[in-house]
Amino acid sequence: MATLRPFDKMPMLNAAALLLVGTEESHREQLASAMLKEPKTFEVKIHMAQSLPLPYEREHLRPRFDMVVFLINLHSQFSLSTVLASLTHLDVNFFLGKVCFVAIGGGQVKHCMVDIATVKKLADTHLSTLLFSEFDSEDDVTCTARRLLQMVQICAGLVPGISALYLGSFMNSTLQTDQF
Amino acid sequence: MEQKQPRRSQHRESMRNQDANIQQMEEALLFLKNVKGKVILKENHTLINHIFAVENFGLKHGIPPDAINVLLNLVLSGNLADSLNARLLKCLIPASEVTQSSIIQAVSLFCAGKCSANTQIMFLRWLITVFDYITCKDILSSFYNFFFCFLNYDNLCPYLCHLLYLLTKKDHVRPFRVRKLMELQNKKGLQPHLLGLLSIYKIFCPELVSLTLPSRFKSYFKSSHFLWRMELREIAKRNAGNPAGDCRIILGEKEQILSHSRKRKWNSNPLPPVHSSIWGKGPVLADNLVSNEQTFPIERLQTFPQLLDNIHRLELPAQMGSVLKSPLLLHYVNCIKDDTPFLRLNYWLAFTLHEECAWYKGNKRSKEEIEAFLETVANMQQFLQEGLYSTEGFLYKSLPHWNGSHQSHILDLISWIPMSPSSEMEELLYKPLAQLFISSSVYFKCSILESLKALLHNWLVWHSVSVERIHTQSTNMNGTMSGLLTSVKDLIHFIGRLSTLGLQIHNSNLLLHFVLDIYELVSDMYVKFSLPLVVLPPPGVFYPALLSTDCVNLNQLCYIMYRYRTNLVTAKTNERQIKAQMHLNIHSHTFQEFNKYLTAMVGCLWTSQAFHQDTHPQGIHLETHLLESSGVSTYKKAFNIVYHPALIGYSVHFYHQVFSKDKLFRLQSIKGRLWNKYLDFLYSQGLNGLKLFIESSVNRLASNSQQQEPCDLLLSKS
Amino acid sequence: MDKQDELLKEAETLARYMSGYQHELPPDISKTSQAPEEAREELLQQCEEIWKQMEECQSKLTMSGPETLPEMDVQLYLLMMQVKALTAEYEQWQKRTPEIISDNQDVLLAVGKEELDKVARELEMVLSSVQAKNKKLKKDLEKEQNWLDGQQKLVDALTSRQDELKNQLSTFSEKRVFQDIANKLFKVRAYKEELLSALGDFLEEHFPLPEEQENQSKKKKGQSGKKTVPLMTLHEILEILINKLMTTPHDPYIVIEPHHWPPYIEMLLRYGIALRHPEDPNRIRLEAFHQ
Repeated sequence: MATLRPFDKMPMLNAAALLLVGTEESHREQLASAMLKEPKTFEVKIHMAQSLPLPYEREHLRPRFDMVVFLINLHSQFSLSTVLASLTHLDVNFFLGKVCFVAIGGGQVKHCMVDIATVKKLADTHLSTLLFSEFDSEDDVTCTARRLLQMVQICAGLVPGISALYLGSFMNSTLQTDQF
Repeated sequence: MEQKQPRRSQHRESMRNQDANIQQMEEALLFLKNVKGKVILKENHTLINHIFAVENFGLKHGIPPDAINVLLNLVLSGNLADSLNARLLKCLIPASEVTQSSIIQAVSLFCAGKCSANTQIMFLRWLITVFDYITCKDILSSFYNFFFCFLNYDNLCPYLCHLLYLLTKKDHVRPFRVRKLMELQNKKGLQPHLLGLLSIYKIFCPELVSLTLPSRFKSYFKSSHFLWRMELREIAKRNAGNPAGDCRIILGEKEQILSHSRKRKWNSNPLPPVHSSIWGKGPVLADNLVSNEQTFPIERLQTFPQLLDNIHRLELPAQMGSVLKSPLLLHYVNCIKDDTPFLRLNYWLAFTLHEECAWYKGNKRSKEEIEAFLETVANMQQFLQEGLYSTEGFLYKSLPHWNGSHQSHILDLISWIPMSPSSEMEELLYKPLAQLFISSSVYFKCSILESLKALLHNWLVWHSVSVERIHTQSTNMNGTMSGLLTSVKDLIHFIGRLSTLGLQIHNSNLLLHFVLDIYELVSDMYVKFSLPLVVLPPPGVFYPALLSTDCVNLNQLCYIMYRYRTNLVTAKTNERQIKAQMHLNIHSHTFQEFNKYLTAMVGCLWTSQAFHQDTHPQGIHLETHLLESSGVSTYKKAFNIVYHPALIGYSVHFYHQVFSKDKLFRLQSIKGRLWNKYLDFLYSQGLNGLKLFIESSVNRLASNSQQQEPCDLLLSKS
Repeated sequence: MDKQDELLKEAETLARYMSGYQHELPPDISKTSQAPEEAREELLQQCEEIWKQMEECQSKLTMSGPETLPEMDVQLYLLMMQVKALTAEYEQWQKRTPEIISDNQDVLLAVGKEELDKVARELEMVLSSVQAKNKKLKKDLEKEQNWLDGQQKLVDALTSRQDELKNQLSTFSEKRVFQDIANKLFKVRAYKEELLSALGDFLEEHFPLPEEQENQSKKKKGQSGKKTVPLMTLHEILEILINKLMTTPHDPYIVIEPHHWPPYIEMLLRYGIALRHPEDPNRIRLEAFHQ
């Protein structure tokens, strides 16, 4: 049972690696292909898994992950519990800005099995970003993919002077207006 | 019928089908009309077939007014089984309008209670669903008390509350009704539907309803109260022959008469006879006796002169949505003082936005439709020069779900958000927007900043108008003033933070251009908008602009600093002259900060001393050994308007103009007399900001030397 | 020095382009003819060094074992970690001094060209965004002018209407006003009469006295020792209630008496037309509809 760690391997040049974790295969595929379709100035490697930990045997084939994205299908309790269980197999250093939760299907309230407040709390507790997305709209998937690409670019250190940690803490500091 | 040749046979085919449908429908109606007394469902094939025909026709074409009459009578008479009643109501989609007599008969049957409670509920849901299609709302409105009496019935109560919510006018809000509702509320606990009804009562007569209501963005009524929405809209569209429009929001475009001659019989009314449906102004009596004026029917209002002639006797339509697209009516709305139309408009808009434009709710409306509607709303707000709280509520609900779809439209709406206390804005606007900002492309960032600039601009305009009002009415508004200052200040700080971060991430001249555009507005708040507030750009904006590699932004920064200077100087003089007419909110810190910036700028552009002189903690002070290690031997004289990366192109150009080609290329020779000539050259290239800045902040008359001290640093307040 | 000249020349062309503000494409900045070998070597050397540093750091990182989330107080734990990490990052930034890009003229030239190229591209975007903005501003201006025009006309129309009304007002004689009011009063009275008689008719038709039924039920029950009281019509009951409320608003209650037929009273109470006294169930009043 290997714990996934943020700096266990050397990075690739001008590339970012992303791990999508979530129970719905279709969601993972949809998001991954949307991200690959977007034009970008760097290379993106996307790996997908239903849950963590990752199987040991193909360890050497994996890149160093710059960011882990958890997809939570709000229409399924199972999806949430899988993500919750997966979190324990992640090194804590990922939570310094390299984790993102994507809650899917929150718009159709009547189908929701998972309360939106629950995922909000989950993201808050883990100091991580939470995005809402509707996967039945292609537009929204594309927009979500764009956002994730911007984030992974920073997580991979491809933006000089900006670290994932700094960006993560920026969110909290927008609320303080102590500037004289 | 401009169909092309090959499609004609297909067309004929469908016409034939339609004819068959119509015939079946006619037979069914004839049969159902004659149903007297209880009918047994079991094994009654004729009945089932007829009902099936009605369903078929209704869902396809909608039910014409006279048939609605027949079917409603049948349903509410209680002669059929519940399940059949429900089926009939579910397909009872009006093809055009619902007439007055149908409503009167139906409601009286409803009150007589011949049918079961379930059918009564279905009927109420039907009324709520077709509400916008009922042309005679004053009739419904006169039934207000009948509906109100039924509130005692627990199972009808939620639906009645919804219907009454739609019907309620100010006249309906009476103490005895409030008492009754409060009594129900006490008996049954916090029911959302009762709260909903009470909320509109409270809006109309706040003095009567002492209850504190939960958040204003709550939805009180379940959308499941509606029987159908998509179908209704589809049919309305089809019958109106206008695929793009929602008939409820079009006024004065109803001339499209149906082209199918065969269908005329069923749809003899050109659709939809939008509003003669005028709300009666309170009791008929008062209206007739007290005012002798005739009201001018809205649908006859076509031209601006007509509006001018009749403005004192117009009444707004019940379907406030129709106002949206009519500039004439918007002019009217703009004039009236009465809040009621705004309440109705807000209610309608909040509902429509939430139900039809909340893209994340899995609505099947097309992108174009949503965007066209959002644009209409944005235009309306621009026309009214005011953000409505319904759009605000819609935005606050949607922003957490916003990943960037309908980008420009949502941003347009954001720029009209009314000013609220900062704490509220932070939670509802700043937080989600910041999250989006950090994960967006540079272009999106530019658009977000542009919309925030527009927001700030709208607030400032709003403020300057209200200041005028204060002056004319000479009322003391210090309390609101400080709230306003805080809100504006917080917005600017928020923009400053976003800008700093954006510039750190992207190092983009384009983004910088958008950022400086905002500060051009910010720098002039005191002089242009009489807002006693000066907020400087954060160092994360100032320094990138100062060291910018392009002259456009540098020039803009110079202009901005010139405006800041003017504003600060004006503020200081005003303060000395008129003691505290407006409490000046400019901190001495601001003066100090400004002076630091000024030193850095003069050092950068004039004295080449920027790297030595800059005292700002986040500034560009550099150690001597670092400067030496750059290998530039004359580093002490090598950073001014000649060498600045944004201006060096100009200096080379100038050099070649002045000196012959053979002369050894030495930019250092631009000094003394040539320095002044070079300045004139720069000014002639359109760098007006630079000109204003240098002429105001650098004292050049003293000598011709280029080594000058920055002149008049503004004294900071002690 | 001539490397620098090349760069400067291009900067100059760029500036000329900018000042001209024309609509042609900016000049292509000629790509450096393959950077000289030594410059490349030097850069590669630098990269190698940085890579080596990274490897060192990485091996240090692998030494420390993995660490997973604690069972309790996750948020607090992570916040503490965040504070530590941010402090470290902050210190790192504090320690850092700016670095010279390179001493190599070739490298500097290439960097400068790249920079100019970028500026040119960005300025092109600025130009087009400014043009778009201008267009929009023009459109907005036109819109607002129309708006202002319309509002002005409205104000004029309303003002003249106001004047008109004022004139009418001044021509009003007192007598005519009284006449007017009297007229209105008369109409209101007539209307009230009409309403009352309509109400009377309605009540008479739909709420008759329960004589026959009463008699029948009595016959059924056989006998009743009670003396039959002459019952009051609903019309009368309502009239009493109304009069009581209007004449003595401080005490609007009436006492229920045997000649008030209970079903009618029940009905009035049930539909909220009448209310019971909170303490005395035998007294009722009319709901205060007029308030």
